[in-house]
Amino acid sequence: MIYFADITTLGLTTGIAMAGAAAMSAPIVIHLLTRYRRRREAWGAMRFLLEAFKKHRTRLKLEQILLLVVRCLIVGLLGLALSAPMLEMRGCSALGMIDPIAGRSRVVHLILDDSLSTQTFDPDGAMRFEQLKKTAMAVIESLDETDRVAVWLSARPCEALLAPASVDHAAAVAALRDLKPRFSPNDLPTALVLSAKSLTQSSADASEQALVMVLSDFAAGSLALDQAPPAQADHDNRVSMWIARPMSGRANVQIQSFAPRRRLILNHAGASGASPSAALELTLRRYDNESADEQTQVTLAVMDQQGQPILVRQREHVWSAGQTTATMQMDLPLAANHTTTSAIGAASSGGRTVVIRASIESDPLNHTDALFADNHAWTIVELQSKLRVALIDGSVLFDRGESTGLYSGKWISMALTPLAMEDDPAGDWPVEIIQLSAENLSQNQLTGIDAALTVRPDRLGDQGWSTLREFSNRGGLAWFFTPTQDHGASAIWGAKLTETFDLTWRIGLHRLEADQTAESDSSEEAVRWSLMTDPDRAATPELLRMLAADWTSLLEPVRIDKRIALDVQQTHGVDQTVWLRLNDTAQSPLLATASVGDGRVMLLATAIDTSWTNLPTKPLFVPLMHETLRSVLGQSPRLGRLSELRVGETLSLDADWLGAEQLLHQSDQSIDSAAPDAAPIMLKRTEVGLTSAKSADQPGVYTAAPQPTHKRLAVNLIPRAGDTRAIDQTRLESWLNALGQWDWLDHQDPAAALRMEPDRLALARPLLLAVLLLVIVETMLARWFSHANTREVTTLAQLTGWVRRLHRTS
Amino acid sequence: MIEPQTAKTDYLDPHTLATIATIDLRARMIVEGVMIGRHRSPYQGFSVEFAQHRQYTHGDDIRRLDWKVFGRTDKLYLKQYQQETNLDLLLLVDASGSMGYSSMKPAQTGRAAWRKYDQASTLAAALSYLALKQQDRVGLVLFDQQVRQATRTSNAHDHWRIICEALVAEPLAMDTAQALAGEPTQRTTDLAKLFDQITAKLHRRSLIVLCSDLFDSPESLERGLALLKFRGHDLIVFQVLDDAELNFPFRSPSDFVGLENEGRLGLDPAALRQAYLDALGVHLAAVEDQTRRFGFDYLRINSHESLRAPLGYFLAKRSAMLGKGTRRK
Repeated sequence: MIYFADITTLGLTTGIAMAGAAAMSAPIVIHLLTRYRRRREAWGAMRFLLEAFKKHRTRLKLEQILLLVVRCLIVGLLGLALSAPMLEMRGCSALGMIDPIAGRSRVVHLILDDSLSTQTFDPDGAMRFEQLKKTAMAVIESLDETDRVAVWLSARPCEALLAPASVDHAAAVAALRDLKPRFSPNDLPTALVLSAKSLTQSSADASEQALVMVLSDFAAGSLALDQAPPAQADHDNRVSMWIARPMSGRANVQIQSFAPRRRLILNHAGASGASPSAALELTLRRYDNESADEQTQVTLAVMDQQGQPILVRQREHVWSAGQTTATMQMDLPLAANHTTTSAIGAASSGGRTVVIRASIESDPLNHTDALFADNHAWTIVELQSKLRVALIDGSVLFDRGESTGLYSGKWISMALTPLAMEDDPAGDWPVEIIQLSAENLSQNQLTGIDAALTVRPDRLGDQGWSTLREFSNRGGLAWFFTPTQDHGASAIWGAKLTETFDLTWRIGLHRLEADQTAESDSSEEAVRWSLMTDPDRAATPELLRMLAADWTSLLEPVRIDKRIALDVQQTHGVDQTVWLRLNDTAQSPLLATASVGDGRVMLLATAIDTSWTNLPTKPLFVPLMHETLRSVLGQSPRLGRLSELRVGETLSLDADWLGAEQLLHQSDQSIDSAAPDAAPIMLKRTEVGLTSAKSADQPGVYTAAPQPTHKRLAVNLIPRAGDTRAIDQTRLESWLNALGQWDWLDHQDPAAALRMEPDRLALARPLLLAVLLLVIVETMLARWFSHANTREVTTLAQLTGWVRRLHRTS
Repeated sequence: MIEPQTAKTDYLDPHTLATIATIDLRARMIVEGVMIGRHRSPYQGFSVEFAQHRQYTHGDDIRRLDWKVFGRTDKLYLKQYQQETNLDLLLLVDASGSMGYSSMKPAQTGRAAWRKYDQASTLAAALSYLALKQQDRVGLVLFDQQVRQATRTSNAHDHWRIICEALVAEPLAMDTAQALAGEPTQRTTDLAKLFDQITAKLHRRSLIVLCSDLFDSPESLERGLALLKFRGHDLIVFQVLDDAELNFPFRSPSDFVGLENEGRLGLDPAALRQAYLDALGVHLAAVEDQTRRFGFDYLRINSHESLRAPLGYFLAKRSAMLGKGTRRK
């Protein structure tokens, strides 16, 4: 069988082959053209010409056809030779027919999958990676002394274990012997590209035979089959590819995600002495196993600074039949004494970070969990003793409104710090309120503030707006309330709000009153707006999930009398949502929010005043204020980034980490890991913070160095890499076909590929020889048929003479 | 108009002749060129060679008395001279279509293409000039498949000019350019018919010079030669062929257009060259064989070569004819 290595892709070789095929028609075209472009010659002795022609007509035609065929063959074979076909002649060497590559050296590129899935244990108790290593070493040991070998590791980031190719086989074997699998997903396309580039760069000796062997378990998570292989991964025709057969699927349970509902936890030991707790959400995923009544034991542990568990809680999940994903929600108490004694370390702001590790028990028999490395996940929560909230109000007291003293700022203050007002004036309460003047707001006043609640946006000056924008960018919550006073300035503060925070909201100029919009209805209740409580249409905001159980009952009593018009237009790429809507026809937004920088901006479209709404007097108000503050601050992107880092990816750290020079992996001795000790990761300074010089290659917790710093990072696995199901072999074959010609590699006898290689004969050279022979035959035939006795025949000597003359002239 | 020539100019070379505008001038140049180096001038000693004495009888012209003999012997003797006879020369020039062929392009000659007809007519003019100078009577016939034009046989002083005018005036306008333009002539050669017409009008034994490419069937030629032989005429055949016709040097594929309306043939000439040469060779051998079989002379002329050979051949033939007894007492 003849193979055209690149014929299936529109590469350069295919282009040459197509050009060759087109050129094959050139002699025919030339023949046809000359029929119409012959010179006309008047001739006297025509009778003799006609006589000769009649006598030799048949012979002439045969000669012409023969010459045409030979010429077409020359061009066609030349095109074929340029496309470098391979002739499969298995067995021919055994029969002693030919030894096509006798005397040729080989270069073998081994692409070894060292990704997470290769840590899977097979039923015989052996790790797949060890089997792949064994195969690789068997291939290397069967090479001849002159053969060169290169070894690439395909886990992300791809790297060379031994490259460029070397004849030092012992070094390659030694490097493989000590090699451990990594935790990142497989990145075979990149490894193929690197191999192809290396082969291209070292292709000085075209006669060298090249083999690329891909050694992978081909678990379902090791290759994204929906993405075509990169064009740069194509090898030229002299390269033959051998692919290890996919291994069978194995049952596996993994922690797919693990995160706290809030990353910021108030660690306030109030009068009750209650300790704070972390609300955690954990998702389990199991592969290749859908049986019922199986149990998975989940262990949550609070870790100390040395990486030792200091507080452990266990939960158990029982799988139902067909269930593959399970979400568990758990509360883990963070006792003050524990966190204190663990010497976690205090930040300058008075907060501290706590590392929580989730683990699932490994199955010692490997029946339900063949991959242990994805049984652990880490997350980080930040403890904070107090939330510092700035209440930005007007500076003039009489301007604050109600004669009863219950003006907007007062209602908010009462909602956030009720005890402080009555029983504990000293302020021993998790929320501390700092009163600030809207007219004189400056950057310094917001230092150390977590949230800024502005009840008089109409009083803010330009400096105040820019201060709030900067505050929001740094991760703060800027919450705006509609002022009760209407001095015709609503248009101005609304425009300033949207302009300052780059919002696409439309804020109305004037207040809207409920009785003006429903004059025909005589019922008093009917003319007051209520809030939408339909659970389908007004889903509980993600950040307010703590109130989910009572959400409907809390919303129902709330009525709105006055409001300003607010229209939130969804814009692509901007994270903005409406958390509360009115139950009117247009479902008008009442509470809208948008992400700005690392922080968030919010706007309530009604005033906190009883003449506008009964909200401050209803049960919803207090939990709404508290939950909003804690949720928004607890889900700060700044905190999230510390736990969303992944193995195999470069780490980016914000400006808070300035001063750190490297990251150290905190070893966790309680986990039985095959991973080697991680080397420190050096940090580089960038415009916005720090970035790591290389990716984190192990999951776990990383601390910053040099000390002292309390900063810690949690790096987790990419869940897809732990998908140990069997890959769809048909789709895999299609994917591989796009790379060119390939064949399966026999795991039991991988060296057979090397022995079979001599049976594949490159046809380019024999074809070129055939072309040369045909050219000589054509010359002789042309001479014999046409020019044998013509003095003007172009002989080889004449050609040589012309070349010499040309040389002299030049 | 004659181009300035060097001392070494060979006026017998067709390349030179082609540069000479008029045919009479060409003929004179040729004759003078041929006679250079000969011991006897063609202009001296003709028809006054002493033969014998005889006794005077009444009525004899006393101007022929040999007074020297009378002075020595007192007897009257008359001097008798050997008077050369007038040769009747008939020039047959082929004006068929194939005679219009020329492979010698104007670029080679500097003036015009040198056709086979040019070679034949120039040869005829030169021969007639030479013959007239020797008091021979000369006639000219231009023919193709029939007699196109004929002059009387004469040795008059101005007859040579008449012959030249006839050679030039023959409307052999046919040439390669016209043939390529698709205007082939129907004028072919029919030698049997020609000789039949000519012999009917010849009452004296004559020397006939045939200048033709003889692109006729050998059978037709044979019939014509037999007729001439029967009537006792002598014949010199000058077969005029172009160098390209003899060597067929073409290489690139071409369309060959016949000058005698044979049609068009597209082919790779190199492939058919040998077969053509074979066919031509067979024809030439047949013509020569037939000519010599009847005892006539045959000379093949390459239109690219000098005219020295045919002229020399003619002079030798004339001398031989006169020596064999054509002289009269």
